[in-house]
Amino acid sequence: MNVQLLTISIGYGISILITLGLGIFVLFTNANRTTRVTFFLMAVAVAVFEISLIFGVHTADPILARKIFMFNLTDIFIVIFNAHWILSAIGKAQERKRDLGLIYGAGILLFLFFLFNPEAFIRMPRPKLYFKNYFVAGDYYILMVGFFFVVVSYFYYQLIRVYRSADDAMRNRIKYFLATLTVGYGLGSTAFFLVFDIPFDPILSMFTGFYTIPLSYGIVKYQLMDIRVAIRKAALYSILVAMVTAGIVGVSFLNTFFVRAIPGFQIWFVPLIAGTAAVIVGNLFWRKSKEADRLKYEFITIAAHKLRTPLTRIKWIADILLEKVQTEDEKRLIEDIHKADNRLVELADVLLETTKQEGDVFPHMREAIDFAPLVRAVLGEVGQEAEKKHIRIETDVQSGLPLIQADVQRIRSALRVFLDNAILYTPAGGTVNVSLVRHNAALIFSVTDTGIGISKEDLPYIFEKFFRTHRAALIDTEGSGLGLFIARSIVEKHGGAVGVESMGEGKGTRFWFSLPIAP
Amino acid sequence: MTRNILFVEDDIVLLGILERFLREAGFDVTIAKDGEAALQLLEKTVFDVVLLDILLPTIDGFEVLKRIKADPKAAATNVIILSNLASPEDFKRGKELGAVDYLVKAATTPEEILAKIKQFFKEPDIVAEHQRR
Repeated sequence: MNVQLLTISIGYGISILITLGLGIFVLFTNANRTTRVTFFLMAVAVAVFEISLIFGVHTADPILARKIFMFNLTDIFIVIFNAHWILSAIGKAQERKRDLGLIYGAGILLFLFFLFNPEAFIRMPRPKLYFKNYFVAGDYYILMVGFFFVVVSYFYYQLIRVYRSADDAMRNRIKYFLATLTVGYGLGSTAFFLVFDIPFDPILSMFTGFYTIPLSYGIVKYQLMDIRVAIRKAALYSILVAMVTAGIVGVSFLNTFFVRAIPGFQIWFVPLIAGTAAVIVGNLFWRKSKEADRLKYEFITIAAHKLRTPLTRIKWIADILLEKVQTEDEKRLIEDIHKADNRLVELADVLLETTKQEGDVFPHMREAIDFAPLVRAVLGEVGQEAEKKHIRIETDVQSGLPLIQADVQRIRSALRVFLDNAILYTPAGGTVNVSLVRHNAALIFSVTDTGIGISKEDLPYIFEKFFRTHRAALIDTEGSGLGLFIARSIVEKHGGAVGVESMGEGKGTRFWFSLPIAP
Repeated sequence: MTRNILFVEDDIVLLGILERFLREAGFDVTIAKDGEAALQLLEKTVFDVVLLDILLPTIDGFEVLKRIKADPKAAATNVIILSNLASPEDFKRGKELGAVDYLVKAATTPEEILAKIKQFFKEPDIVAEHQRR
């Protein structure tokens, strides 16, 4: 078989697998439902396009090839579903319902038109370039291309519009989408030139499926790596892979050459040398990176110490002053200092935690503790704040529960996060219900409030770093969006799980977490 | 029963705050600003509790801890490490060298430190409590 045909076939094969794989993967993540489903449908449509193309070009019989090529009609749905999931991902699907309706309508009409007038779509295929058979455009094929242009321009326009008034996170995300879609459609479009007999080799179109990778990343994760960093990393990895591949191919050629040129040359010699060299070089790089790690660790340790010293002073002085001040006003001011300082410590921890590759900034110290009294103690701490807002706290803490293995300071701070949130986001006169029960081999702590609730769209992101719902941000403008993220990480490090339920905005929320019982 | 504490810390501001706080809570507090000074004091007196920072001039806290535990006279002293170093290695080392607790300064308040210290004094001293109020 022709080398180009083989290459493009393998490329398409991998591309199909990646596209379908990611389409299915995204379906099972907890991104927005509409986004997930329409993205999956788009992935299926892309896969059908790719399958029909690659099978068609291998088919010698033109009549059969034509039947296969007819599946190319699904291209119409690629752009339709693409438009739909893009709008959904940027939160405009509801708003642009009418536009979407028009797109679906036009698309379906076009599809039906071509279905009943196949000659208008594609004519009998014939061999082109190195393909056994390739598309030959019908008189109205250009309509489909025109449809693509219109729809793709439409959602590009929508993306750019939202970009203007978006926050940093959304902007970064839109950049991912725009860059990836441009590359994807750019590459994919190279398959169309040959349809119109323009002798442009469509081999590049085999990379089309790979664009689902950054797209699914952009959909699934809330906080995306900055796109420039992502591109740099991707470039580095690609170069690395290319170098290793070239190395392997080079060694193989070298070996064949020597074996042919020198009689009696041992066939294992060159691979052995190459292998040894690779191990040595790999080792050197490993040591280098460990060294870099060690220097970074030392820097972090020093930075941590330098940051924490003044923070400690503030904390201790504030704590002492709290005991000494007389008036309520003064007490409140000192408490504000305390809170600000705690937030700084929290931020410093997160900063240092994210720079470290592994391990905690503050590792856990576990002991067997009785959870119920700890819960009551924390309830005591928040009691005053609740009283100020006339919020009733109901407790349903079972007694005689088994002990858990936990780091008291950490679990206490996790409890505080949930309780503080419940009180903060529940309007005056509301109720907060706290319960602690045993369920199989774990204790489940849950706090239910009659507060501002969480919308369906926001629920999947509640525990993500820096995430804050719009309503929450209105109530507490200073909030860092880190409390629940840290609480989740604490619970999960203890082997537990967290969860949240809400019937919607204004309908209250229930947060829960489980901790395994001490063995 | 004497209630004497040795507080080893190189930051004079923190030294002053906690020393005063513990004094008002009814404890006898001796301070040392570096490892050398701490060891010298430990030779002369047996303390009930030692609050030990790690990053100290001259000799560091881990070394001081090692020497405390190596001295038969002082080996039974309760040493609480009070440091802003908080890597898993540090925690492990502290425990291995015999510290009874490891508190991270930036994450603890004087009140909490007091609570931890009180664990090592079995009889409640009502007079001292009253003095604090």
